[in-house]
Amino acid sequence: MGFFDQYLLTILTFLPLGTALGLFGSGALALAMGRSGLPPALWRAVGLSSAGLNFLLSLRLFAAFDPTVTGMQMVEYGAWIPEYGINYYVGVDGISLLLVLLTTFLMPIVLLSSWTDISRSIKSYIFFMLFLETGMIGTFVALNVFQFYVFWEVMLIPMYFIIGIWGGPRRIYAAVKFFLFTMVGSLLMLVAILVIYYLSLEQTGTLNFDLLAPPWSEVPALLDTVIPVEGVWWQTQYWLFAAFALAFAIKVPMVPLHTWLPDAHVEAPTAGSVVLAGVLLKMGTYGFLRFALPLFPVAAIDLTPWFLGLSVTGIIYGSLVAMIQADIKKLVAYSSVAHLGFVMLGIFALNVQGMNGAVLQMVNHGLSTGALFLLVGMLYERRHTRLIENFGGVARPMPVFACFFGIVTMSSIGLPMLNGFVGEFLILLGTFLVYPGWAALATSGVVLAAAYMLWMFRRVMFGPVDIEENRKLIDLNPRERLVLVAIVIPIIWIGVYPEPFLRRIEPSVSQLVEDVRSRAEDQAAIALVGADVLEERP
Amino acid sequence: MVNQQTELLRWIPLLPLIAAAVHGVMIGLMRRSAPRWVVIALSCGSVLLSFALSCVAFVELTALPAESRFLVDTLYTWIGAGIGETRLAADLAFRLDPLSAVMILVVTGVGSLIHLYSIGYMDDDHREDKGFQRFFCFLNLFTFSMLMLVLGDNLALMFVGWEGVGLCSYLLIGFWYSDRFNAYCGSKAFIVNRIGDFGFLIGIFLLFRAFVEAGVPATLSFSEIERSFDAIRELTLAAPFWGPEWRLVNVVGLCFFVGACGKSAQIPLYVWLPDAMAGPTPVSALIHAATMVTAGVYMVCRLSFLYADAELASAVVAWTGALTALFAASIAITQTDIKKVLAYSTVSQLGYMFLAAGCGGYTGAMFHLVTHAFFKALLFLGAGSVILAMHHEQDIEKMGGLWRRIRQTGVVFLVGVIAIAGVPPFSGFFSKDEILVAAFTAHVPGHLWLYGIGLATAAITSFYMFRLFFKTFLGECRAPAHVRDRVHEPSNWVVKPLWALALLSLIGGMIGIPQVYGDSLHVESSHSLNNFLSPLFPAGAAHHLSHSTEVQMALAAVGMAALGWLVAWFLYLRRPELPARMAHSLGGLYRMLLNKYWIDEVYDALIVRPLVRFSDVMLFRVVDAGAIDGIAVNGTARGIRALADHGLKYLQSGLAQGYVFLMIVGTVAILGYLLR
Amino acid sequence: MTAADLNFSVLGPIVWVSIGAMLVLLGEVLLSRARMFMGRRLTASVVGSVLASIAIVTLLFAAYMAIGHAASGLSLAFNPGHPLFQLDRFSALVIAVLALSSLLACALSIAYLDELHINHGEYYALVLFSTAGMMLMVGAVDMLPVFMGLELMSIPIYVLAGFDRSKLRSNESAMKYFLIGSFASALMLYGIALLYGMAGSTSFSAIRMAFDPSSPIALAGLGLVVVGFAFKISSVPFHQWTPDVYEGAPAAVTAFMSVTVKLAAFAALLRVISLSFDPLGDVLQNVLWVLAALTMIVGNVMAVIQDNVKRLLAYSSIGHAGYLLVGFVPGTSEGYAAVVFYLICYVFMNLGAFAVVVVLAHRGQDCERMESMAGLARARPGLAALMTLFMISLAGIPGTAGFMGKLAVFSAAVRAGFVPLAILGVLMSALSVYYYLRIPVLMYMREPSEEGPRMELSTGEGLVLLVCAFAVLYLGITPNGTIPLIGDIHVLDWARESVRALLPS
Repeated sequence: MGFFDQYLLTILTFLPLGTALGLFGSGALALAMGRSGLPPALWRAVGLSSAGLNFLLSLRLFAAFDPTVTGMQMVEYGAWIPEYGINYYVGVDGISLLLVLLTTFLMPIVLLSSWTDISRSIKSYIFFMLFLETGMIGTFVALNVFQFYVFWEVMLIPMYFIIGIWGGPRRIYAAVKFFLFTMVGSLLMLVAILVIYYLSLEQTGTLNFDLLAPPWSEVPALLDTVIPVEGVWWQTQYWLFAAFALAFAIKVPMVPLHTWLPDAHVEAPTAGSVVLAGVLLKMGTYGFLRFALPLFPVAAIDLTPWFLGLSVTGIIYGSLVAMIQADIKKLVAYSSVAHLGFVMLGIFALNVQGMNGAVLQMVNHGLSTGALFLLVGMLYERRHTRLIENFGGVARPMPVFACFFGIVTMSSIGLPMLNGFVGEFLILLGTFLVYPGWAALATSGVVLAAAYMLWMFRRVMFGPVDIEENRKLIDLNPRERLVLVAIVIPIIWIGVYPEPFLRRIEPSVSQLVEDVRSRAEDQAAIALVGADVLEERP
Repeated sequence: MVNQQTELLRWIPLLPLIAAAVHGVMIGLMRRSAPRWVVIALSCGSVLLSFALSCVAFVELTALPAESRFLVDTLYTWIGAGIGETRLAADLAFRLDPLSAVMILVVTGVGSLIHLYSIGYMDDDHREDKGFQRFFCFLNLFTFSMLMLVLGDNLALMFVGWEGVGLCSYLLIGFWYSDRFNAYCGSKAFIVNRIGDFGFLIGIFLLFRAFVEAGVPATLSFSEIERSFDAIRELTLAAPFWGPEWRLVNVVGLCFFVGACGKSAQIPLYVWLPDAMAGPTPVSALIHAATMVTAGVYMVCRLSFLYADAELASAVVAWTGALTALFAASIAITQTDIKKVLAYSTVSQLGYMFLAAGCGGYTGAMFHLVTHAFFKALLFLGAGSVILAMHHEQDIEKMGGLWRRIRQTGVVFLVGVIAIAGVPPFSGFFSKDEILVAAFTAHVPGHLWLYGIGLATAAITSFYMFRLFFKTFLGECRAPAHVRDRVHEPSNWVVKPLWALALLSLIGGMIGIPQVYGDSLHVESSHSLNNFLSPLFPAGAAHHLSHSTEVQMALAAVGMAALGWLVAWFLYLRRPELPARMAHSLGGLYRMLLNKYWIDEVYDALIVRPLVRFSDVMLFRVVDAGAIDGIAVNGTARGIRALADHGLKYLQSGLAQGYVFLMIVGTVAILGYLLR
Repeated sequence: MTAADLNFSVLGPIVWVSIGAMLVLLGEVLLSRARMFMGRRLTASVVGSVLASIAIVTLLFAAYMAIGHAASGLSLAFNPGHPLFQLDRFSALVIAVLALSSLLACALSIAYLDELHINHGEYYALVLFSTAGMMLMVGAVDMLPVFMGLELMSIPIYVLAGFDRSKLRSNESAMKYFLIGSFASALMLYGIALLYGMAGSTSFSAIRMAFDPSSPIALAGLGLVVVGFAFKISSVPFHQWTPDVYEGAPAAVTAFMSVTVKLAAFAALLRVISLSFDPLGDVLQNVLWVLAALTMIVGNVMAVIQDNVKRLLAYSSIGHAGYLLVGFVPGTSEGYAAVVFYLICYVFMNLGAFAVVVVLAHRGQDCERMESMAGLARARPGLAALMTLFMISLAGIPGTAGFMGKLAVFSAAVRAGFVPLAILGVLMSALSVYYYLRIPVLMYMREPSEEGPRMELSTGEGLVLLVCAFAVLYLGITPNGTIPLIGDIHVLDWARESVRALLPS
């Protein structure tokens, strides 16, 4: 397996896109030879199987990952545009490992769930989905900032088309809004990246986009640059951090940058919403963990109160707004604003419990919110409406659906022994150790979550069946049951026995916390003594 | 403390869980329900089995020397995160000590009786959404959660059970979900409980943080908390609300008590319990009388070492308990729904328990918890069989004269009534007596007032209970003829468990006969419960009472019971027309009681509606759609378009001379700048 | 000065292209004669393709020579004694790219001219002549050849702009372009005259020697020359002809001039600025700063409200002129290298975008209304995909040439500390995403419009599209990599090395 393991990450990343291109190419070939192109069914089957294979590969990755080691594993390093320090540099630690796993896990589920849902231009749908998977995995494993940026942006395109082509009535508005929001943020981040890049050039004399030096080499990387605390405004940590934070906060999304999310979620097809909620939002939080905090520790620590405030605002605001939504999907969308607020809170608690919980909560949110969107999608496929008032008493015709919906609802409320609780508990505990006030406020979100979710659940599932169409609803078919069972298993597993995950997250997270703290102190010290060092910058 | 490992404990909660899981997979996934006998065998079998195991465990425990009665069963680390002193490690571990032993015996014992009862009761369920198996699935799940709650070795695990029982109560209250009201009550119960859990969580966090501050290894496990409690005893906290500084233990105690208020329906969070009666009657008996609602009391006793040290918290507990007792009892007077009366009486009895716990009489609290479990379960199940007999009629105004028709039910019901009224030698008498003694001798500020309230409540209790009995069973039958003629004793499944419970509520007091009678009656087992539990609880330095005083207090209690009975007899048997007139003459008071002091309405008007309205109008419309999306986002887009449409576009006239002119302007500008 | 010490090989490409132009004219005459006898078998389109192939061959050869010279890396002046025109790495590279892009433009035109029934042979001759002019301008190291090249480039394009005689808009645009263009040339000529007055010579080196930042004559001359170029590169406020001309001219012509003229003008400007005016860096920097900012803003903002594809692309090209100017501001070698690299990227993506427009022309009409692209993905999936690719690249999404180019330019600006300008630039390109994405939106997310576009794709067009698509992806992914079979294409390095020739050693 040596060779195989050595290139595992690359295979994981490019298998989906490779499959897509292969299908595309063979289709074109068939056309060129005068045959009709490949049948959609084939595309579907091949796409699904490649996604499934990718999941198996990621399981292999999970197994090969050594939980006792801190730092990057399965590292691959190759020259890309070496003259400019642009390298192909991938690796995983406990944080990205879980996110990769989440991605590869959700992908087959999504493809399976949209088996009948997507009827128009299936080929391009599969193509974009696989493209998207490559983009997402690439973003999570990239350790060269340039490479990260490339994947981060490329991944917008498939998502844009998925929303725009297979979406609802206001899909174009939603798609463009989604694209522009992200674009503005990430382009400013690009400028910030360039600034750091040249700072490191000045300090170390090498052009290097690597975030950190690969294990075997001592080449100074971006993390080794000292980013001034005062000096020229656009060179100070605060502005650079602001640029990064903006890009990531838009993606998370943090209030008040969240308004693209409800639109995107409501308009996107089920599969789109699942991937969006399940994986794309995590890129923001992941970005904070991987880039924003380690690169700008001083700024991060100084600005922590702001982020705590925004996170708590997000929790409460999201919950309150979710409570009064008439559209189930919109409700779930706002609920993710609240859940991601928890994640951000855990991250900025800057202690091991909080961050560990935050990373686990990313996975949890991916699972439970993804599952919620799947369920809503199943309902929508049957009734072609998502308005709560059009339902009621659905539990009577669809008991199985009710059972799954109940479990998932409970997990997103954070019921113990389901995944949601573990993450939230750790986050709140960790935050409470440092910021009791904020944590207490955030805890109220637990109550609100129960309020809005149960209210929705009651109005949809319970009560008399007073609308005729609902009486005729058909319960879930085997395919849908399979999908839901597949996603409920981890929901329960993480709730009952989260240790395997926590154990893998722990080393990386404690390492990260350690780094941020120590680097913050060092750089603050440098800022004090060596202010003149920064003056002679052009 | 030598702690004995055992593999036994895990099976006590696990068995019901397995049963529930099997049911769940069958109906939740396969969507086909098993034949009746399978369901019965699975559910009742599992619960009975875990009852047997509990007995075994109990015996094992009693075999140990009194000071080291402690069994533990650790499975694995459930949540572990953090490093060094501050590491959080919550094991999935069960602990058996006298306290939890008593609880599991009650839970599984009463639980299995109620399981058996439910077989008969649910057979009679004629609603369209009947779900025999679903019901037992939830019932098993509840048993599991309740056992987790009481067996859990640390706060996190206790919280698991805590929320689990909440979930099951939610599911079971809304069991007949086709009725909007039931579903509403279910979610109301869950959300109100969540408010309590908020306090619980904060308590956990505070405790954990306290250990971190004190620099001792942070932990959530009860025994370790108790061991390193001295480290945090003296910590203080910047005042949350008023005053200079609060002792941390007080704050923690209050937080946990908020949780207890939620679960055990104390003021101000009691509102969900009366509505919980929407559920099937066995559920009311098991969850909302015998077991779940007593979880709060159990928690306070479990943390007795903390409360014993937190005067303020204890005082709050005691006073809340006493006031709730009086308040709920007063409401119970006017209710006409048989289950509502029992519900409010449950609230008030729980108040008693908290009164005891707050006064340091933890044994008293536990004692009353046990006896109350017996007779209140009995009363509910009795009420259930009345309801069956009356074909799902719950209004006592439409009952009466059932004594002749359903004699067995009548008898057992009467036993329950006497027991709760506190007439010796029925169980209720002893436990209530112990509580009153505890209140009398407590160090809580105004403990004599507490005693007085307790006494008054005793009178009211006996009054409304006898009122209930008289209106239901005596007098002439007020039911419509077609019902009256078809009233009959329900099946044996229903009646037999009643006898068992009746027996228990008759003799249940024996486990706690106070010393004074014990000596005079030469009962060996005198005060056995106290001796069994006391090693756990901190010895509260109570005033010593002379035996004569104890006897006098007992007589006073009995007197109160008698008074209540007398008034009830006078009003509802002797002069049945009086109540109506009194209600008329004291209209305001009566309406206030009838409408439960309008508390629900007040909450709705003050909290729920404003919140929803605020979120809708202010947050969603104004902030979200208006400010952020409307002005900031789309505003920018519109601004750019406007800049092009109304500004730059006019430069693009299409006329060459215009272009040339602009070129000249540009050239002049550049030259001007260069030549400045 | 005798013919001995002139090395004509330096003029090779230009000479070749001019000869090619003559041949085309000749061939046109002969073939139209021949048509009288042979009649219908020798249709106009056949004639067109024959002439086009002549043009293509010559351009190919010119490109080949230039590349060869670029590879050799030496810089030779046409007349070393008193250099007027020199072929160094820079000019060689640019000339090669010029030849290549006008080659693609020719390949693009064949079918198009048929479609519009304006299949006249002189077309290719004009293209070749103006290409020759561009080459001259790029290689010039003296103000006079610069001006000669400029005019030789412009006049054929004036004609080409009005090539579709039957259409009023075409003629109008030609007229406008001619009038304003000659005005600009006049300004430039005056500037040159002033510089001559200052330096007593028109050669760059002399001007650099004698340049005196304090003398108003020098400054005025500089300013006027800059204005002249600013017109050609359509920088605000000298941009207004661009939309009208691009819209009026036949699409193929627009494609041709939108890339080649920009390329040539920018290259010449690079040389002028870098060679002759570095003494007053900061003053010039401020001027360029303002020009860049204005150009980016106006171009992108105006593009937002366009409904006509050609007009949209016109404004987008203005916007790109702005980004390119950002590369001038730092005055550093990275900046110049970035400009060269960006120009190469721009050639391919813009040509590709216009190629799609050309392909979509039908029934003698250009495809202009954006609406007519609706649902294209259904009718012509491949074309739609390519168009999306070019749009994404113009918008500067990673993985495409556009991103790399912008990255180079902005990073040069950031390195020199012009962060605000860079921020303005990225914000503008975020804005540009909006209008570039409108076309994919139409093609993929709307139902097809009733009027179906031309269905068949000619070889030339297909070739152009493929080359451009390949180049866009290649430059976007590994601008410095190696292509199997073809060999090393280190565009980034080439750009870096080429600008060395510009900076005074």
